[in-house]
Amino acid sequence: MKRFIIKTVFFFALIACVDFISGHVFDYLQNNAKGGMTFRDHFICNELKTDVLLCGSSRCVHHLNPQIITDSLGMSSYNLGQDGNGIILMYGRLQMIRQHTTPKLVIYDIAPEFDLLKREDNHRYLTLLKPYYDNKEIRDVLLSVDSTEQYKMLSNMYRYNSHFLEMMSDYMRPIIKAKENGFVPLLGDLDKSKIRRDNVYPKEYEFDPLKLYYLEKIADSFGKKIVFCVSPYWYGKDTRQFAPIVELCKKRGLEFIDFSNSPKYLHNNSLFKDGNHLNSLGADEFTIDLIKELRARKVISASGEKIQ
Amino acid sequence: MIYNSFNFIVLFPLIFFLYYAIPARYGKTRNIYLLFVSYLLYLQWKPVYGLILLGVTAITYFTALSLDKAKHPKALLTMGVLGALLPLAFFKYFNFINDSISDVLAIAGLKFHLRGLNWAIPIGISFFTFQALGYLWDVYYKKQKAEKDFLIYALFISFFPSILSGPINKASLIIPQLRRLRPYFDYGKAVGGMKMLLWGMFMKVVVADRVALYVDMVLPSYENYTGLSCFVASILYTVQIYADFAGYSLMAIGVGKILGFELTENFRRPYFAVSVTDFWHRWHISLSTWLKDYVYIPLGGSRCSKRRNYWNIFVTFLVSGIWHGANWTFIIWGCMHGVCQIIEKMLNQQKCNYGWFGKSIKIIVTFLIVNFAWIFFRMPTTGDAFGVIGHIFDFTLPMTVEINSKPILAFIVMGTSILFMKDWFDEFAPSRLQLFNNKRSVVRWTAYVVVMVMILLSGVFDAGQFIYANF
Repeated sequence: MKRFIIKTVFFFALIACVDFISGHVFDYLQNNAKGGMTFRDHFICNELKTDVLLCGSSRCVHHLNPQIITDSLGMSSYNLGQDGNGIILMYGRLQMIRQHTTPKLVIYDIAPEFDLLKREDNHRYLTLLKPYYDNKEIRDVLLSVDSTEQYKMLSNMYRYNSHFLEMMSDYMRPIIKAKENGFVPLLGDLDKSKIRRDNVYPKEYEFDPLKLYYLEKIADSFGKKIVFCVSPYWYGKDTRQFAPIVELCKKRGLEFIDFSNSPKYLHNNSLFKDGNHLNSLGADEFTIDLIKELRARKVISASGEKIQ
Repeated sequence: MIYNSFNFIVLFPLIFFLYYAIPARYGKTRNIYLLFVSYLLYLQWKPVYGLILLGVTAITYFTALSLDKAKHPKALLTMGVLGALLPLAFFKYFNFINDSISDVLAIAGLKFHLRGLNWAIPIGISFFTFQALGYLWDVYYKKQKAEKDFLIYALFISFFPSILSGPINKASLIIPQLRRLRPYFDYGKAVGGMKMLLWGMFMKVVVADRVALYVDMVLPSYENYTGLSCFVASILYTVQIYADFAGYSLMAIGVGKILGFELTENFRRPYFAVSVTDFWHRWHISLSTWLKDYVYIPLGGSRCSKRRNYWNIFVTFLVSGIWHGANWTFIIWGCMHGVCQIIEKMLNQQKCNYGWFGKSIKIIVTFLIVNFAWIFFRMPTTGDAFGVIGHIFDFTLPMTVEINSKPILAFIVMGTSILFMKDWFDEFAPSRLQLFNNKRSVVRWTAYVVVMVMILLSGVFDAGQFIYANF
């Protein structure tokens, strides 16, 4: 029994050593990536200074063109959007950005699946936040999803779980996926096989209290500087899904701009890549339309400077 | 207990130390402790379902004890079996039977529908019910003496390493281990158990849960992907269910070993089977043994006419399909396996008498047959299953595999390659690649560390339940 315990302790001590060394290695790779998503992530969280921040899921990544915003408004702009992510990651990122810059305007493209509705598991949104666990704001986000993260995060390897291959590739031979402003245009025509229609809407929607909590916190952090929008869907959307954000905006006097059922975009094959994502042409059109709407609502003046 | 959960990492060392704090001479105290822990862990799912477990235990215990003195033992046995099966039938099959009857009546133009149940199925009910029934039949056929000590019997049924998803253990294997005074601590068993726990965890979190990310993306929305993508997803599901279930079984057996118990082997590299018949000697061995002993042989087995023998095979696998789930997809899956085995028997193809090339072909063909059958197992309806198969064979679709994320692809390739290589060497050249069991301690310890590092770096920790935990 004694031998067994000693060998078990020795095993975990070995793992702890490997963990300690790999932590330093991965920290180095994270901070010195030459490109790719690792570089982008590091840049966003540590160096980004810009006037207009564009936030959201893959819909934001592919729908909001910062170059058009810069050309129209004369303000620098960056697209923080992240595939398969939403408010939980965005809140963390925005808190890190606020530590080194103060944006003039934040535009948040709401995707109900990632920002409002209850889904199986919020752990999936923590992957890109884990490397920044040492930051108190980020730690609070992780612990709000799972209190046991405080124990799991004792392991450096766990921090970089599922991420290390990409980090190594981004350090050695990065595949640049994003333009310098974070925008990823989807080129080409509509792939009709990718039209996934939510034909049956449920009677009631279940909203995630944690996501709603972070939406409130973002509204607290940025006040009138934040605008919420919904970019177009090929097949439209049941607007009941947006109820909490509509209510939040009403309560706080914030702008909510909904393009989800805009007739210009509904079933317009020339502007979409699939049912959920605009193509590059559609993205440019939408960005222009959004700027027009922001001007019409006097969120920004004709000269491009923010009014509120 | 879910072995890839944080709770397990915290609780199991505690269970381990408290167990071994009890001196070996207090065997009964150790058993009481294990029974207490088993019920405590079971109750954390849904406390009231502990009554179901206790009920099945009590029914089979008292029935077995009474069989010897009963005037009509067969009638008593039947009552005991029905009593033990009732919760399983009720919780698992009520809605299915209700819906099926309603559908049949609707075809005849009749409207009749009882309100369905919205109750969760008691976890592990299929496993502990079959374990209890196996014991009852063993006592009836005088293969096993009725256990008089309720404590020992209750522990046999509720033993926490295997209650969730098996293996389905035989009373003749477990009860003697519970009865006799076990050594204080078996070092060899404990180390073996730790190795199984480690490799089982690798199979589950590095392989099964990783490929699940792709499978769960493609198969539920198969219409939106190419046929080749659906085919790859079906192959990956075949990998997923093996790595998930075999990984869990290994961990369960490993935990049992750490506590000094030998549980039933449950998997033996099933995808190297040379026939569907051979597959069932390697896949979920404890279930196939149970079906053979309590369904196939009582029906007559192979000691009857050929026609009768084929019928026995078909019924056995029909029961297997029904056991797996309350859905026509599982029944079709079971029947497919039954029919394939009948055909193999007709053509005398259960074994392999060919050279290495013929054997390779047989392995590949068997793998593809099993793979297609798994489509029925995975999809929620028969329509969806046929839809996936139709999609796979739709050659008008682009012949491309859609995997958007290169890192996911890299992890999948890495994990499945390692698993395949390990199984290949274990099957064909067991002495050539010895890592965990290498004579040199440097090699062994390097292997332990590498596997653990891979678990930490590429394991998926948010995936949750094992597939077979739903049974």
